[in-house]
Amino acid sequence: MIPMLELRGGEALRVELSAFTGPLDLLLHLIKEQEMDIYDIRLEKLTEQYLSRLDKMREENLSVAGEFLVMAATLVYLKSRSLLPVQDRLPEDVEDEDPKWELIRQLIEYRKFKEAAGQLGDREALHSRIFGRTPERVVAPAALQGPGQVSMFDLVWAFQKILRNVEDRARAGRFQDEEFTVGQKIEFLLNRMTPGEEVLFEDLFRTASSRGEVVVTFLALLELIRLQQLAAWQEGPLMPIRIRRAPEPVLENIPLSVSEGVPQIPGEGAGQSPDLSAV
Amino acid sequence: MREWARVLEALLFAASEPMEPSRLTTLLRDGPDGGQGWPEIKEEELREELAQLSERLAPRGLILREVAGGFRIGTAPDLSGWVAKLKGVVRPPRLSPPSLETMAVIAYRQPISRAEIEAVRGVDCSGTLDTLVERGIIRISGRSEAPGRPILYGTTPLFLEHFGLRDLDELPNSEELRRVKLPVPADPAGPQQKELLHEAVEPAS
Repeated sequence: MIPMLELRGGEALRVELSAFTGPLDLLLHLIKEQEMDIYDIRLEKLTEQYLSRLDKMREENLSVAGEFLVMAATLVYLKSRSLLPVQDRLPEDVEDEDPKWELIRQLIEYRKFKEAAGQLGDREALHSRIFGRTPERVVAPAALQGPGQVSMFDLVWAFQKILRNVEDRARAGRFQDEEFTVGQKIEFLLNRMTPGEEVLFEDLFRTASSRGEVVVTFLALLELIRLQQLAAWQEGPLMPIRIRRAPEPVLENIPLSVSEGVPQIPGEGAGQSPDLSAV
Repeated sequence: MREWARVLEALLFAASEPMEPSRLTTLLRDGPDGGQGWPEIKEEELREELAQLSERLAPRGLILREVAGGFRIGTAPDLSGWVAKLKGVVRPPRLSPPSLETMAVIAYRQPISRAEIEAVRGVDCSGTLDTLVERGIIRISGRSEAPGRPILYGTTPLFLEHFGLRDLDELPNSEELRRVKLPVPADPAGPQQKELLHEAVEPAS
């Protein structure tokens, strides 16, 4: 996996930094380069090689990741420890096995996963060259499909068109901002349409004079669709969206919980997309 | 070639995900709306027919693969250059070596926490984990009972598809790598280690 590198030039070093995935990778490379047996590593030599690599990186003004420095510290510690005569070691150290073995074990385990990663990479190389059929565009939930039905995307798209329109009007300075609540707009929509009546989506926003009013009206519309008081439909794709009010029965009390404070996105809490054409 | 082999071929061609054998037999059994299907096709028969389909496709531009617990038709790998151009793919979406390492540790040792992965790799893995989650190849699969209840990661079906694996047992050398004892994540570096760190970065003249 690791490319052979010319270590004298600065260019090669720059390549080298990204060639190693971490200090363990670098150590394995050095062990191989020095033709050492992983079970019988020469700490002094390895530490010296490792530190000189880090120095070269520093000379090249390459930032050395913290993990490489921590490993340097570990190596220096292990090396200095191995230089101490056995009788001078701290009592607790004598009882433990040589901590060098901890590093060796880590290297051996890491090497196994590194090899596995290499094999995964080979598989990936093959299978990334196989193309399968990709899912067809965005598919609306089944409930929203079929002739005459309006998807959420259509509705939002139509809404954005109206919003743009209102922004243009607002910029012309002909309209004043007024405060509306979703509750007020629910009432407005129910007064606007008699049971069974049908109007164009756009018509419901004719009187709205500000961005805020359009948004609140749209939220009220969504809420009424969720409550199955209104339904949206169209004759076909890209045809005008029509809003129809349910003939009968009409709920006695429309819950107007959304009328206070900040408008909420209706139906969000219910965790399901509103069936826009349930009526 | 059985009567329903053509239906099978059409289903696999139109599918945009691997089709499990049970799903195929169900579709074949139920038939189209208002039409007749083939009741009780055994999985053995189905696999026979799939093997034959695979043979029929072999000399052609398509291949049949068994991945992620199902069957899927794809384009032949040697034709990738042409298809990539059609699809506007500049370069196959391959993972970087660090991501592959993180991926390997998770694949063999899931569910596994970030600290445990880092203990194996010896480097910070947050970046590679983010990449893999974003690509949908791994996912958060739970929380450990260990102190701090760290998040655990596992592979997704997309992982199997990405690497062309039938299931996790097909991972190379899985017996051994699932068993090896992993290094225990260490506590954050103590004061002693910080002193040594300073010594280590001095240029070795």
